Amino acid sequence: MRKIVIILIGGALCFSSIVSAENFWKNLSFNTFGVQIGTDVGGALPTKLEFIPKVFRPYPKMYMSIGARTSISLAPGWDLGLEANYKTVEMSADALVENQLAFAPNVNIETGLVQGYLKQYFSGQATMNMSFTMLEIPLYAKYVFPNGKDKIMFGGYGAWVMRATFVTDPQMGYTGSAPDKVDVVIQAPSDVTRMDFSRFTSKWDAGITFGYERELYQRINIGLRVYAGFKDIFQRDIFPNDDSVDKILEYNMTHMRGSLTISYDLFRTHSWWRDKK
Amino acid sequence: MEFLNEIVIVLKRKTGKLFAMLGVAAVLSGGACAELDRLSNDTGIGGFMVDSVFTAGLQMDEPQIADSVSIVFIPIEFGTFVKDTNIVFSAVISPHHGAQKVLNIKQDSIVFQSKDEKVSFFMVAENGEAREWFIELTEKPRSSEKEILGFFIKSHTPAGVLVSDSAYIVPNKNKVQIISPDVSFPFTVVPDSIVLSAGARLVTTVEALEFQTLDDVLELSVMAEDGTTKNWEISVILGYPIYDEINGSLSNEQLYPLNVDAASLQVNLLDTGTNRYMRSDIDSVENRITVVVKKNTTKTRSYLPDFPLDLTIRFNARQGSEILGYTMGDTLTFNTMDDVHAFYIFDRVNGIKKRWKIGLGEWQNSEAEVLDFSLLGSTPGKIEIDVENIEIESSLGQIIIPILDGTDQFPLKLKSEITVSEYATVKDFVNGVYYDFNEIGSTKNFTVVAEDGTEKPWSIRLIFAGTLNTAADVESFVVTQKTTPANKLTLNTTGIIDKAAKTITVQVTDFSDDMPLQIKADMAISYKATIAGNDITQDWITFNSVSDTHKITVRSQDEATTNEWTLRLEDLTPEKNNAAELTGFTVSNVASGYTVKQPNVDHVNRIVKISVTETGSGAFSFKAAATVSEGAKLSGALTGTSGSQLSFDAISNSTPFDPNNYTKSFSITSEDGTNTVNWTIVVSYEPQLANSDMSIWTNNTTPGGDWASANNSYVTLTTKGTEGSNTYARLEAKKAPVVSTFAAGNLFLGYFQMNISQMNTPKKMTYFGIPFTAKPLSLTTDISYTPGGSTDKGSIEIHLLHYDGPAGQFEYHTIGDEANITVVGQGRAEFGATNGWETKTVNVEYTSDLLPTHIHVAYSTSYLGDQLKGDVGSLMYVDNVKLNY
Repeated sequence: MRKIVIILIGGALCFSSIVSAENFWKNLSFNTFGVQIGTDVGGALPTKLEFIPKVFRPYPKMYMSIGARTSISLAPGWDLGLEANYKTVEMSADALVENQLAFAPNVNIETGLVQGYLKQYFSGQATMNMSFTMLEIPLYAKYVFPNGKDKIMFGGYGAWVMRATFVTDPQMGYTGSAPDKVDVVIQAPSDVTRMDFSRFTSKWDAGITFGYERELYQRINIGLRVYAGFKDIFQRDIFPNDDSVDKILEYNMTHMRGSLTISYDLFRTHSWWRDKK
Repeated sequence: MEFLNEIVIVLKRKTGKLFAMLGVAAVLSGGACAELDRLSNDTGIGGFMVDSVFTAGLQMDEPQIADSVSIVFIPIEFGTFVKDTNIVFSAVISPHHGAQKVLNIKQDSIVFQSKDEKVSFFMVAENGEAREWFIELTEKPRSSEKEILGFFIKSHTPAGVLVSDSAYIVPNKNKVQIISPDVSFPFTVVPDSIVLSAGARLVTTVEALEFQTLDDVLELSVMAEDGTTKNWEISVILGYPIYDEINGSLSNEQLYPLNVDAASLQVNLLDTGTNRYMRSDIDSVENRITVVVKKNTTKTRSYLPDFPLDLTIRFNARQGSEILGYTMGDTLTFNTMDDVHAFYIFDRVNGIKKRWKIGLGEWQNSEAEVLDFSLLGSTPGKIEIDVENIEIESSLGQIIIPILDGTDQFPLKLKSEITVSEYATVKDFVNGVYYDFNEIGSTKNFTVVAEDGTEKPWSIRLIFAGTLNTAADVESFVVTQKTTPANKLTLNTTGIIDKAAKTITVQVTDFSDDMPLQIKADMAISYKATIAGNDITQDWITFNSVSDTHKITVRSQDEATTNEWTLRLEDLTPEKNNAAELTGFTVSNVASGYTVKQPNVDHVNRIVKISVTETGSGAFSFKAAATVSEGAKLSGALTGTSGSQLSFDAISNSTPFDPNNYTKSFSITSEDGTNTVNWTIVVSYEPQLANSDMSIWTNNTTPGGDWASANNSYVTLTTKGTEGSNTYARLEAKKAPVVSTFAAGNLFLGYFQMNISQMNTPKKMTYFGIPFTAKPLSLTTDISYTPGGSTDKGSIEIHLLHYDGPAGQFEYHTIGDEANITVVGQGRAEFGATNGWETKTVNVEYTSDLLPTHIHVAYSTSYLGDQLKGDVGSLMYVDNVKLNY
C-alpha cells in the first residue's frame, strides 16, 4: 500500500512540475464522462522469474468488462482520468513444475478453521485454474498529444476482488516432504490431490497501469492498457499459530493483465486542444 | 528529493519486472514453450551396475532389470555367514533415454537389513511422471538333496560268501542294505563307489564297513549342497529263504521275482563241436534249471555228452531282484551228469530269496513226425487217386490224399504204410490194414508218440482234386400252367434267360389288371448244378403284382459258385391312356319348375357350377352326364357315361340357401389308373329380381314385381318411362306440400304404407325388402340421372338381410334398430349427372356368415332423400336391374 501511495503522489508531483499551481486551478474543469466496454487477458504470475514453471502453457479466457470513466482537465494537454470497471479475468494453464513448495492448509471441516498446514513439494504436471472477478478503479494522468486524438496514460489502480478462484490440480508426478523426495506418486488427477486455494486469496489488489488510447471517431476511443498488481494474490497470516509460515506458496503471485477497451464519451465539455484550435 | 528517488526506484524495479513477466507470458502463451504431451514419459532404467559390495565375503551377480514389474533382481551368493548381517553395496543407476532423474535412494550406500527386504527408489520421467522401482535380492538355487543313489561293493571279507554287487537302498527309510544270504561274521565290506545326489558329499570318508553281528547298524552321514545333512543306516541282510514247502503259501505274484525268466534264458555250449545243446527246462518248484545236452551225433542213442562240459547261462533278473552267486556269462563246468551249480535270486523288495541249481538233463528224442507215407492199395478202383501228389503236412498233422474222380463211388478203402520219427511209436494205426473213407473229407486219425513221450495227433484226409462244373446258371424256363382270377392275362410261356443279369423274365402280353397270377414252370439249370434252398418250381409260383419277383439260388457242381437268379414279370401290355380330363358336362331332366343355366366348368379349380335362376316347388334334381378322357372312368356322384340323377333339397326364397348342402363330388381315373382327379358339382342359386327390366307396370305409376315407390299418394314421383318399345322407371324429385317441402323420386323392393303418425319419419312408412335367399356379389343397373340442382346426387342401395324372427313379422326400415334383422351384406353408390344411360354397379360387401333371407334394393333421385333433402327436379331413369353372382 505504501508503494502505491508513493507512486500516486509521485505521479501527482510530476504533473505539478509541468503545470503551475496557478494554471492548475485556473484550468481545472470537468472534461468528459463516458462509458466503456472491453476485455482482459491475463491472470496471476510469480513475481520471481525462477518460479515460473519451466514448461508453462496458459489458456486465457476472455470476458467482457463494463465500466464508466470520467476525466477532468488539469492543464493544456493533461487530463486526470478516473474509471470504474467491472471485469472477470480468468486463465487456466498446464505447467510442468519441479519441487514447487506449497503449504497446504489443514482446515477443520466442522469449524472451518485452519489448524495447520502440510508442507509438501510437488513435481510433475499440474493444471491451474484461476479466475478473478473484481471492481477495478484506475486513476491516471493522461497526456493528450497535439493532434487531440492520441493519448498516453499512466497511473495506479485499486481493485476489490469480489470473487476469486485458484485451483491447482496435479495430473501426474509426485509429492514429498523435501525437494527431490518421493512420498506419494500421483498417477492421475483426483479429488484427493486437488488443491483449492480460493478461500485464501486476497480480497483486494492495487498496482500500476499505463496504456495508450486513440480517438477513432468523435467521442469513440479505443484503448490498450496494462495492469500490474503489486500485491500478492494470496492472503497472509493464514497460519496464526506458526510465525514461520504465513501464506500458501513460498513466492508471491501478482496480477498481470492487458486490457482492450472501447469507450464512448457521453459528455465532452472541454478540450484544451480543441479549444486551442 | 529522497522521496522522489524512492518513487523512481520503485517504478524502475516494478516496471522492469513487469516487462520481464510480460515477455515471459508472451513467449509462453505464444507457443514457444515445449508441449507437455511431447515430453517423454520414460521411467525406465538404462543401466544398473553394482559398483562395490561392502559386506565382506559377499558376491553379487549381474543385476537383472525386469521392466514389466519394475524390479531389479540382484542374485547374491548367500553363505551361512551372512545370514544375520546387513548387506551394503553401492550402485550406479542410469536413467533410460527419456527418464530424467533417480530419487529416494542413496546410490553410494544401498542397505538391505535382510535378504527378504525390498529397497525402493523412484525414476522420474521428463514429463514429471514418477515410477517406483524395487531392488530385490535373490539367492542362487542350492540343492537340498542328500540321497544315496547307489552303493557298489568293491570287495568283502570273508571273500567266499555271496554278496550283492550293489546294496539295496531304501530311500524313504534312509537305509542301505548289503545283501549277503550266507554271510558270516565278522564281515567287512569295502565300498567301490557311493553315488550321492548332485552336489551332496559324505561328511566323513568311508574306507571299509565292518559288521560284527547281523544286528550291527553303521551310520553314514551325507551333506547336501545347502549344508543340510542326513544320516543313513548301513546294515547286512540275509533275506528270508523260500523253500519248496512254503511256496504254496506265496502267491505266484510274490514268487515271480524269485523265478528264472524263461523267455530271456540263453544257454551257450562252449564246445559245440562235441556236444549239442538241445533245450533247457526250468522247474520253479524244484528251483532247477536243467540244461539238456546230447552228444553231437545223429540217429544214435549214444546221446550223453562228452565231459568235461563247459557252458554259460544268461537270463534277466526280474525287477527288484538280484542274482547272487553267479554272474551272468560266467563259465560253468560239468564233469558228470550229476554236477550242479547253485545261485540265489534275492527279492530286494520283499527281502526273500530262493536258492537255485543248474544241472544237466538227459536227452530223449521228442520228435513225433510222420516221415514217409506209402499207399499200398485202394478199392473200388473207379475212385482215381492222385498217388503222385500225396502230401505230408507236418504243421497240420495231416497226410493229404487227392482224389481225382469217382467221387460217386464211395466208400473208399485204403491200405497204407507210414514211417515215423526215430524211437517214436504209432497208436491207432496199423500199417497194411484197410481203413474206410466214406466221402471226400473223411479222415483216419492216429497218434505218433515220441521217444520222450510227446504225443502228436495225425490224420489221413481225402480231398477232391478233379474237375467239376463251375456253372450255376438257369438254362431254360417254360411256363407250363397259369391261373388268374379273370383268366384275361396272357403271357409268353418261354421265359427269357439273361445270364449276365441272372434274370428269368416271363413276358405278360396282356396284363388286363388280372392278378394275382399263379404259374407252374419247368426249369433247366447247369450240369450237376443244384438249387439251394427252396425250389419254387416245385409248386405254384404266385405274382400278386407285375412288380413281384422271386429268387432262385443255383449252386455249381464244384460248389464254388452260387448265383441268385431273379424270376420276374415284364408287362408288354400296350400303353394305356393316362389322361383323366373332364371333356364335357351336360345337365338334363331338371326338376319341375327349376331353371338352370348351362353348367360352368372350371378346369382350374375342377368345379362344375350349376346355376339355378328359377325355383320349383319340390326338391331340386337334375341328371348330370360327364364325358371324360378315353378309357377314363368315373366314380363318386357320377358313374358311367350315361349320366347320373343328382338330387338336392328344394331351393326357395323362403328357406336360406346354404351352398354347403348343394355340392356333389365325383372322380375321374385315367385308363391306366395312374391319374385320378376329383371334381365338385356346385349348385348355385342365382335368382334375378322380378320385373328387373321394368317392363311390367300395373299402371303408369305402379311398377310390377316387388317394386314400390313411396309418396306416390300425394305426389307422383315414380312413373313408367318409355323410350321406343322399351320401358323403364322414371323417378323425379318434387315438392311435396303435405308431407314436406321435398320428396325424392324413389324405387325400392317392398311396399309403402301411409301412416299419419309417422309423417315426419317417412322411413317408418317404408317397408323395405323382400324374401330372398341367394348371395349376389353385385348389382348392376342401367341409370340415367340428371340432378335438379348443383348439390344433389342419385343413389343406389342394396342390403342382404338375415331375419330370424317370427314368420310374417319381417319389417325393415333401414333405420338400424329393427328387431331380429342382421345386415349380412350391403353396398351403396352415390353419383352425379350421367351422360345419358350408364351402367352403374354396386358391389356387395358381406360382413357376416349368416345366410340371407331377404334383399333390400332402393333407388333414389336424392341421396339424402330419406332426410327429405334434395333438389326438386332431380331425375333418374332406372332399367335392367341385374344381380351378379
